[in-house]
Amino acid sequence: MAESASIGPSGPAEPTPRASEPELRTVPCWQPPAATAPAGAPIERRALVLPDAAQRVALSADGEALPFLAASADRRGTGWRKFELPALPAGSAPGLVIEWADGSRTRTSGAAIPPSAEADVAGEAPAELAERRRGLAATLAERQAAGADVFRAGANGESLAVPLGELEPLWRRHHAPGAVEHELVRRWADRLEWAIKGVCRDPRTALARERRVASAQRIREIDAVGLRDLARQPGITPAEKAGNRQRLLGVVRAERLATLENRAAAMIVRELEAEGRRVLAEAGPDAATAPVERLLGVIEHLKPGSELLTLAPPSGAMRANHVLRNDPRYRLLWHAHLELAHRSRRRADAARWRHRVWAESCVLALANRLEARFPRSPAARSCVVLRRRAEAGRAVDPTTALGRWETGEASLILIEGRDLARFHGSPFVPEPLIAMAPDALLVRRPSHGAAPESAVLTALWCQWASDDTERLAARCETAAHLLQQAGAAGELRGLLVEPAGPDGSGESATRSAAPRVRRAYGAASAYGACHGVRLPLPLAAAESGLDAAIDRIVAAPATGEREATQ
Amino acid sequence: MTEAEPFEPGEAGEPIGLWIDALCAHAARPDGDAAERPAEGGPLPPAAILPRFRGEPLTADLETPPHPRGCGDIWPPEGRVEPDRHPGRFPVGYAWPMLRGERCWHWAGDQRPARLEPAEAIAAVARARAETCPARGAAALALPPEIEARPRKRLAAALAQRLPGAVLVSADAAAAAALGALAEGGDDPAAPWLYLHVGLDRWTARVVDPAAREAAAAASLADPLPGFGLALLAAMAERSVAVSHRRPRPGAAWQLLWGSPWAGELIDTLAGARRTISAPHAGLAPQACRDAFVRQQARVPVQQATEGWQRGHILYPEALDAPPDQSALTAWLQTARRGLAAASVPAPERAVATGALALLPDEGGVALADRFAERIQPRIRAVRAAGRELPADLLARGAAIAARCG
Repeated sequence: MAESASIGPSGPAEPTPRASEPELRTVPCWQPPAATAPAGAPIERRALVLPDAAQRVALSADGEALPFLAASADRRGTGWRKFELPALPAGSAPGLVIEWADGSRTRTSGAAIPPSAEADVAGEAPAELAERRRGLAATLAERQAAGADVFRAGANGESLAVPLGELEPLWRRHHAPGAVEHELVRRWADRLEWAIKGVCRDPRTALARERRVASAQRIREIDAVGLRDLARQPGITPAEKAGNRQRLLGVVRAERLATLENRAAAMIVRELEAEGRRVLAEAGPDAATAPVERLLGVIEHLKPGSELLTLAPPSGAMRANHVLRNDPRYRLLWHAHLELAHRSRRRADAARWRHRVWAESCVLALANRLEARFPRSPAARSCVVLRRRAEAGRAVDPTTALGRWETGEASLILIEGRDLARFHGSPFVPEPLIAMAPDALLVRRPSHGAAPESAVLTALWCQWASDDTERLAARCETAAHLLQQAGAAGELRGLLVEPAGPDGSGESATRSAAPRVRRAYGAASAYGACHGVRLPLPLAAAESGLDAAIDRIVAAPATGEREATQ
Repeated sequence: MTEAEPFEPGEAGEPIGLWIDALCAHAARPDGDAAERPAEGGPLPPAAILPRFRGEPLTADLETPPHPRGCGDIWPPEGRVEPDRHPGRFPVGYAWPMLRGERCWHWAGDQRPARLEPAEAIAAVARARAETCPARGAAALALPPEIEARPRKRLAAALAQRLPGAVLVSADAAAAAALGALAEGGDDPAAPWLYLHVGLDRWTARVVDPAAREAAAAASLADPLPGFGLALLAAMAERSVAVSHRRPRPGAAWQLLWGSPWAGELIDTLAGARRTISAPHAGLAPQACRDAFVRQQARVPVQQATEGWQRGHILYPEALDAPPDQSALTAWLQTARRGLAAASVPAPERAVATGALALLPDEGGVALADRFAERIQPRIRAVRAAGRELPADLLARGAAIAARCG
């Protein structure tokens, strides 16, 4: 694959001794660094390859760490580590900070990463997926407060854990069409109505001293500037200097509306109005938008007579003053502003890490579908731990690990990709497969045996691409070739999951590598079949696609179970 | 430990009797009707599931599918069982011996460490079992006969917290109450009888005199003898795993023992009450099980079985006492015989046996209960054993009757 691109000093793809500017390579996420890249359609999800002494890589712009994907070694024993790159806009040049095992750091200058074809076409869907997940987390928090089977996890209880059996109906509800619960609708609209009315009708004003030319009778105070102005006027006595109209430049006290808090309030009301209109535009037919419509009506009603709403926004970076922090009305507006700002950042994050948002959503969708199909399994009592804040597109905590599903003939285990590192040296998962960094691995074992050769492994990759079926098929072929190189005691399958196009078409494609049959543990094993599937959004509508994928995963080995387990 | 939610006994329901041993948790009403919700899965060896998260309650596993925690599977990590470390599952089979020994179950966990008193584990299982009976009154838990005053007090305190209003009834009192209800025409209700409890971990022999009105009507004939049941089951699990899996993995025997219905089915198969073991847990064929059992038993002293268990890395030595050797068993039976001769009651002519091993055959094919009764009192006319002549939930039923009678 012509995806490899050197963004450091040119040279062979060999690990170099640590230098001020180390060699950096990008490869498709699933490609082991030392493997030969088969031909096929390019995959847009890319990884950065570094020598194995690299412990942590962060973007120097904001310090965000790149997620670690996999470690591997080539035939000569040279170690590599793969870190996932976000979807960067075309021609972007991120600088990197690399932390090495000995504690030293290297800063790389910004070098342009070749643009990917899909870099700017993610649209709103990743952000919507992330919002659905956030809505689910908010529901879990409410249930936890109400004493349901939702538990606090993490060192400070910042995550929420819920048994999969309890999660499944909630997950389905939050991923139904039109079920995106915007924070504005969910938490803010009713209270904001009260705050906006209060601020516009009775804004806080500041009593300011200002110089103003006024009639002499009203002037109670004259400062040095007023005296100088008076002295320059023609005439001898003050009455003569005041002129015919008897007006002087003096200091008067006046109420001023254009304070920081009022400017901020005006700006926030405008932000809320825009957000409300966006929510209405995006809302499905069944969405509860009445609070937002009422809020927009209130703003429309207040606009003509409110001087506050005509104020210009504060200049420069805005920081909350005492009023914005402590006055209940202004404080509510300020919190809404922060929420909107966070939301913008979350949307940007979801777009950058869309592959990971998609992968997490797919794995959760698969787990919930398995739960729905095989409800009386140990997995129902395993807890999914959901963080309140997503990190690099993922909110499911790494401590989440689900039990097995019993399908009747076999048991099925789902292992998330980040947990595969625990299986180094295990006979169940071949090392090359770990280096291919699948998003999840599904292990099917017959109920009456646990020998590695009786297991069927299905590696799951998710990527955000919605091009034509031919390109999906080409990617499946690439994956099938890589799987063929991996080799396993049992059968190895691939599953490539992508979002369906805007028309919701869920076409699929299957490609197999050239069949290679070998004798392993006395049983014939088949290698390298990869199936591609496109799931429509929202994912609750993807049940048939998920079922078809599950049927492939739980299907008996091609060589026959009895033969494989003998 | 998480505080349990208040348990509300039914208003006018009959008392519920509970008997929880290593392999099954029985519940019954005084009339023998279990009156419970139909179980959705098969019975599991009862175990307490330690909480992993903040706010997670202490729960119990009574039926399949098992909770993944501490079930011995290779995935998820909370299910793994590692050598010499307590997992997140505390089987009641270990809780009774640990209650006697005043020891605790410690689970490191990945979120926070957890510690569980055996009394709390038993109380949690008792509560979970009582909750499966919808219209219930107060609960009464039958105690193994050898539980002494101090652990009994601790269990009563734990039970009061999780199952308010519950009372403890000693097994011999429960057996006596149940026998009164189940008396047959030829039985003399005032005649003394021999009570044998052949449990997995302890064997006791007592004589019960219904004519005596004192609370201590049941006199112990000999100090309780450590049984070999747990070691035997572990050794059988190891053998079964070795047959099923070409590469035995750590935790597989544990999973078979405490994460599946295998152990109960094995005991039933050995006792002849069952023909097959469920397919996913088969391992050894029934006949092979019986052969292995006889070979295992023939090797009494069963020290080898315990050593095999240790090799399997699933032994928690503090949970067990030293198993008896053949001479200890002979000496115990002789002591019981002498104790019976010295007792101030007429020689009993009938015996009642309870416990998981009571119906297991010895080398001669005679049930252990029959053999022990014969060795202690040769003139015994009839031995009635729970699960054979008497209902399997005899002690639960007896506890319910005792609770109703106050």
